[in-house]
Amino acid sequence: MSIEHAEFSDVTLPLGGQGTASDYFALLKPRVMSLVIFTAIVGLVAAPGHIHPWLGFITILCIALGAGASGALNMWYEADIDAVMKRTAKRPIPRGAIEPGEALGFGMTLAAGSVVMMGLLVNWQSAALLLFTIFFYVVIYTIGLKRFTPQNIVIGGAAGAFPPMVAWVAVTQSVDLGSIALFLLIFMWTPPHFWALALFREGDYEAANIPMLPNVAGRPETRKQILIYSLLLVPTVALPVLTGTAGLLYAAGAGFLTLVFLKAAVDIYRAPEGAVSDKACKHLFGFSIYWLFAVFSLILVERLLNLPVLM
Amino acid sequence: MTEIKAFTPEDLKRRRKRATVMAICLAALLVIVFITTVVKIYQAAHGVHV
Repeated sequence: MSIEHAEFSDVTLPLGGQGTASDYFALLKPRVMSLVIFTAIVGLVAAPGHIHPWLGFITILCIALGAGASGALNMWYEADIDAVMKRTAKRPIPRGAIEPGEALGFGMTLAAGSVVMMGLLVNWQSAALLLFTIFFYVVIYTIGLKRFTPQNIVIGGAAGAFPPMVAWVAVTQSVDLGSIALFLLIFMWTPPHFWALALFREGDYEAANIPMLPNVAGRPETRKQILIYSLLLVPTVALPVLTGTAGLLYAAGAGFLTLVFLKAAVDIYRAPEGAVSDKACKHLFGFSIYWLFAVFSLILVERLLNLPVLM
Repeated sequence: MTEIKAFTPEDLKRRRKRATVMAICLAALLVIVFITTVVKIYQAAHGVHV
């Protein structure tokens, strides 16, 4: 199913050119970047092998800059829909602080800089994967999927799942099963996280003509899909244990947290429409952020304490 | 003929600020490349695969 490009004849994008440092910083999507940095650090620490701490720092810096580049390029392309959505109307481009061309130049410079720096200073395998991640987020997700299919989040979620894999490759120079397990954790987490948001921000997405699942397939179907993906998260959360990346502490902690996640998804599925449903969605959305942080923290703690893995 | 507008004092102030930020970024890049080179030379000297 596809929805045609939105036309916003009543929306004007004022000329900018007055951007301050904080406006440029906002272009990097710092909140998304912080999650990217954290999951990348876990990938770096969990990977078997050794990397010099300085090169580890450079790896995280390059991944952070690549994530920032993706954010800037995303805001450049989505300036029209950002202007009509309440949540994004105050971003630097729709606010007129930065011109779209400036954001494009800034994003491209950061993208090229982060990839070249990763290649020259760390290794070209991780640089290639970083470049693919930026390409996937900007071209496949932002330009290709977001405005055309309600499955945008499912496929596009891969972009957010690559950072720990990039960091892993920086250490091992190869894509191992352990890195795929970390990738899948974020990949399977993304749909319920964003669909919970879309359920209580449905009006925003509708105003921008973005075919999010609730607008296209309806709220009951979205609630069902949230439950299905949350169920799929249960076997996925076991993968780091099965691939020899995590141990008992992770198994117990992540298992418990995933059951709480599943309970929140069941609550959404069962909740009657209205305020109760909105509350359940906000609860899952908030808890899902905590879940991702906690599950990756468990792996980080295990590796830092050098606890034994189970397999 | 194209009319060339002179920069206003505010324009100049903003350009100076941006140039300073760019200079700091380039200096930081230089430091990063230098330290990485030292680390890689050290690793190579101690037989660590880079």
